[in-house]
Amino acid sequence: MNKASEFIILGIITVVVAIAPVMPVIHISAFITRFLIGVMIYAIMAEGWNVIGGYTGYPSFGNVVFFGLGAYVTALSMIDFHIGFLISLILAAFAGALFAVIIGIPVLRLKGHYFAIATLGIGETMMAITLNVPFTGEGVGLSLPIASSSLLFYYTSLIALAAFIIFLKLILSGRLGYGIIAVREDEDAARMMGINTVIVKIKAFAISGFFTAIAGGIYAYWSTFIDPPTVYDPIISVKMIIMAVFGGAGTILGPVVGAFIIMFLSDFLSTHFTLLHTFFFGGLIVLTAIFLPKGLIDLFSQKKIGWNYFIKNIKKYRV
Amino acid sequence: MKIIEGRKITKRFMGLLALEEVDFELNKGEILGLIGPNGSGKTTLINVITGFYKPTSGKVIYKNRDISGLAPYKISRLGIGRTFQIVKPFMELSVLENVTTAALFGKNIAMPKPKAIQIANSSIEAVGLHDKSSYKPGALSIAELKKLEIAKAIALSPDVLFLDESMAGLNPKETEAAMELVLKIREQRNLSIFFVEHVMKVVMGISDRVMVLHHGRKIADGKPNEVVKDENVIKAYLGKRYKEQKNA
Repeated sequence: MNKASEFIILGIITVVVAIAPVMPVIHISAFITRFLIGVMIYAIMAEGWNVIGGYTGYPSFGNVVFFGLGAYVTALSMIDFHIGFLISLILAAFAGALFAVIIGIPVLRLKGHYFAIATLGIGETMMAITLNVPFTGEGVGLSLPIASSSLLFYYTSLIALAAFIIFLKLILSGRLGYGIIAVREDEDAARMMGINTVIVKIKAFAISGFFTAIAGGIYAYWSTFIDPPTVYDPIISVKMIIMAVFGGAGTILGPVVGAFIIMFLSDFLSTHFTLLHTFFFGGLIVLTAIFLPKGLIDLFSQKKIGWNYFIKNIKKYRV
Repeated sequence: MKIIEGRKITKRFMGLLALEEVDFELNKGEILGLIGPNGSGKTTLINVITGFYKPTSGKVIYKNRDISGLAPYKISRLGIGRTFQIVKPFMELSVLENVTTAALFGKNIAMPKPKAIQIANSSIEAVGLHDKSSYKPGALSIAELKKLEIAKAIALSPDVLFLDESMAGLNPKETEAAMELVLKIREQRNLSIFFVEHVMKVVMGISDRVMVLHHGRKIADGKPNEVVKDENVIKAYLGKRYKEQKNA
């Protein structure tokens, strides 16, 4: 990354960090607060996917399972045990991490496509389980208490997202981070370097599950109602992937940028082109895959952006 | 003094007997060359020793300890490094980051990062890639990629190094340099080296001892100039032309 773009990114981050905490106080409409909460919840999930899909190189198609699990654990803990929201959220996070370890042990042994298919199945299985066990409210769903102010959700998701980014930054500069990236780059070479690849992958998946479950918990309390088809919707997994890849998988800020822009565009397009918005949205994703395979954030690391950059990208990932 | 040895190593893949009761030993400080025709089981043998395959039967004894069937990461942490026949660089990382990853794990698993970077730098220096340490592997030539493989292997601070065709695809001048490099790292780092190679000039040039595999069986083991005169070896691997050239 060159000096100028580093400066620009640092500038943007500084502005965002300075403004974000006071946004709701100076905001004009509840609409914007609502939009930003949605962005942050998705940013946490996209970043969660990024840990396993972008950094570790294991494209999970079932990360929604942690979202759903987090939502249900938070809801049940608040409704049945009358535990406060924040503690419920922490319980949900550990439940997400634990679940990632349990399912990670078998599925992280699979490579590439097989891993993707197996994770796709897990989300569906959890939905079926939740629909059929009595204490989850089955198909009826669960209603949560209503919070007094939406500011709670704004600040919880802001803190969770910030904590995640800082945590990830620390992890990546340490031994685990090197191990995670080595697994993505070449698993056999990693094993021969003394890296216990199974443990590294499980840890990465647990981090992913931990934070994605927090996102689910915030969502549950925020939306006040959850049912299996909503919180285990496979489209949520797809959205995480699109946001992470669009912004830049394997970079810390990419998924956050991706979540913001995708949410903004999908909002904008669906209000302005009610019938055609999926056409524009789909087209955008296709164009990104062709011209910006490394994501939007990659633009900042270029010294010069011209036709050559796009032509190079097209050639780079062509068969 | 033996540092690592194999006792009657057999590896069977379904109906194919890839290795049949292969014995080998590597002494401390020795350079042992392994030759044999394609498909004779050379890489399979290295894969068994380094834990990528479990032997069907037989044992690998390293420093008086049975390591057969241990996971590769455990074997690596015990002080055994290897390079791969097809180079496996981490394409998205710089040369320094590639080697630092190795230094962070390997034998010195609890090493702090600044120390690991220091070891990585000295490994890169040892193979002569120091002016390219900020490059990504995509910008390196094949000779440099082979050096990177070696740098990663020695950054593990191993006692034994397995080199799987580290000089294949190099031109004569690069080969010459690579041979010097192998001799140099053995000297500087007190290594015992087991290497697979096809280029006979290399095998004859740096091996203290040579062993020959053919159809998964060991057919010769001894001093380089004795092994190349062995009738079985000439028939199976070297061919008549090699003998005639040598006699001429």
